[in-house]
Amino acid sequence: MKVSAEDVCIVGIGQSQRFGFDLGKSPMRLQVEAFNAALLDSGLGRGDIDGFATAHGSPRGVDYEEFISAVGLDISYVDQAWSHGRWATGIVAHAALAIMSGMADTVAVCNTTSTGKGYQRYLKALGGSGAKEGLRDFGGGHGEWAVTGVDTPGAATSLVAKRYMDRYGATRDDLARVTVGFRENASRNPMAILGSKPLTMESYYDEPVITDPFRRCDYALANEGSNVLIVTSRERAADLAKPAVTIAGAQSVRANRDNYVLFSRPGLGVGFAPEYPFVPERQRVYDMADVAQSDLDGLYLYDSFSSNLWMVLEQFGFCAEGEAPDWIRENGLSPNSPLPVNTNGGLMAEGHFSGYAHLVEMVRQLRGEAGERQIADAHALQWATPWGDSLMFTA
Amino acid sequence: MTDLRPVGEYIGPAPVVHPDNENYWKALGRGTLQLQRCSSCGTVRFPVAPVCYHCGSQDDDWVDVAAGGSVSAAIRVERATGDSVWASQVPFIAGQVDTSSGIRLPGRIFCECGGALEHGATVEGGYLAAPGDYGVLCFVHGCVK
Ligand SMILES: [Zn+2]
Ligand SMILES: [Zn+2]
Repeated sequence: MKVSAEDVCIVGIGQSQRFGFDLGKSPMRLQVEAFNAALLDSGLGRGDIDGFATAHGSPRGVDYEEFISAVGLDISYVDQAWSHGRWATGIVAHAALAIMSGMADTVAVCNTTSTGKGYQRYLKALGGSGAKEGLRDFGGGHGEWAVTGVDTPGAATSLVAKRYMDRYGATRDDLARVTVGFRENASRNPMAILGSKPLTMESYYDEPVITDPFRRCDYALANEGSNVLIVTSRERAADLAKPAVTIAGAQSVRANRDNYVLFSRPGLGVGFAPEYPFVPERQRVYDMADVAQSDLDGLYLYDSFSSNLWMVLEQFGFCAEGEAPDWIRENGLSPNSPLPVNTNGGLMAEGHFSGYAHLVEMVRQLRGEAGERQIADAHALQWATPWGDSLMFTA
Repeated sequence: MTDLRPVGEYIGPAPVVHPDNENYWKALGRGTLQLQRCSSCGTVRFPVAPVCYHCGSQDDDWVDVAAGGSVSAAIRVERATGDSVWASQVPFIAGQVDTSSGIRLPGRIFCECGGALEHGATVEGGYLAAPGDYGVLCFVHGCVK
């Protein structure tokens, strides 16, 4: 059966019982918890799932065939991406395309992460957690290059933040405002790992500097947990209890020499990308979804580092180049702001789930299930990353 | 011939040297920065690659390139959170330099005064000697005698 683009929706969401730094549970156990929760939420049975998509395989997550064998599924569409944070849009969009084409009826999008200090200490034989992309000829995609001492995504992104601050006059307080804002959002999210650890514009400066200008709290967390979304056709969704959330638009990661350093922005001049006055391109996700920026009820972004919000706001045209810090100061980031941002607390305060927990939160918000952090009258929410990829969810 | 200033022994993870890129590391070991110039369109490219990103040609020559220039952006690494080998080096400065050859290059920046953290600070090209007669590019601020 072929399904048209506007008739693909999310009908189930599930998470591991807890998120944390060291949960004492294997990636498989965490993913089973989230998968069963998503099935229960959707009202579907195991036999209804005929598609499976994941980004993180072992040892951080679970390889597809291991999971399917353990759970006893019979799957005819499989997608497993690179074990990186960057594929939340890709695997959800591919799941939608699989449903549209008739390759699958109902796809479980699963993602689980564990840490070197957590459960991976038992799984070292599988290869451990370290990605050594910094040793590639080009260095790693975050701009890290092993031989320069800028050998982590955080160090490389602090270079992005520094270039931005030098060029546009942004301040340390501007960085702090992002970090403090997401932490405050996390205080309304019972699942958030740092939900009970308040941070103020003053206490921000007590945090240790890792790679100046970034302090520890400008980094996303390294943590454990699992998230699952179930994607299907509107026809199938009609029989189910919960209101369906539509995947109304999508656009891919943008890849070219201007976009090589993932947490930078074209025109900023980081890595080997040229420096030039930046005017964003028209973003096709808005046209595809027929949603204008002024229609948005919330923005969710891949906030692996605090400066990512500056990049996303400018790359997607929410403000002109260099104006993101002013935009943030005027708009705020809370559920009551004109445009709420990362109401879950994001990767920096809820936990680093590569965006999948953001997508779960977007579904919750569009169903009106977000409790004290509910965005009033939420109908259109956007997921966006500094790599240029994006999803639009509507209800 | 561009002569890079010798700064000392390289401390860090060993570069991954293979036939495609060996000349880059060997030239640095001799104190010279060499990059590939496309035989077809003349574009000097970085990083090392077997193809020109501008025109797609696979023909190139290695040419000497000036490494001195001005700091585009630099940070101070306070904690080694990646490879533990850097723990012996922190705090240190690293960043990217807009070289006089028009190519932006990354590297450690040796500076004792902190002046190299400023955008636009002038630095000269240097190299660190690595095992196997290879070298690693770095930069040196004027405060270092
Ligand atoms: Zn060429
Ligand atoms: Zn100096």
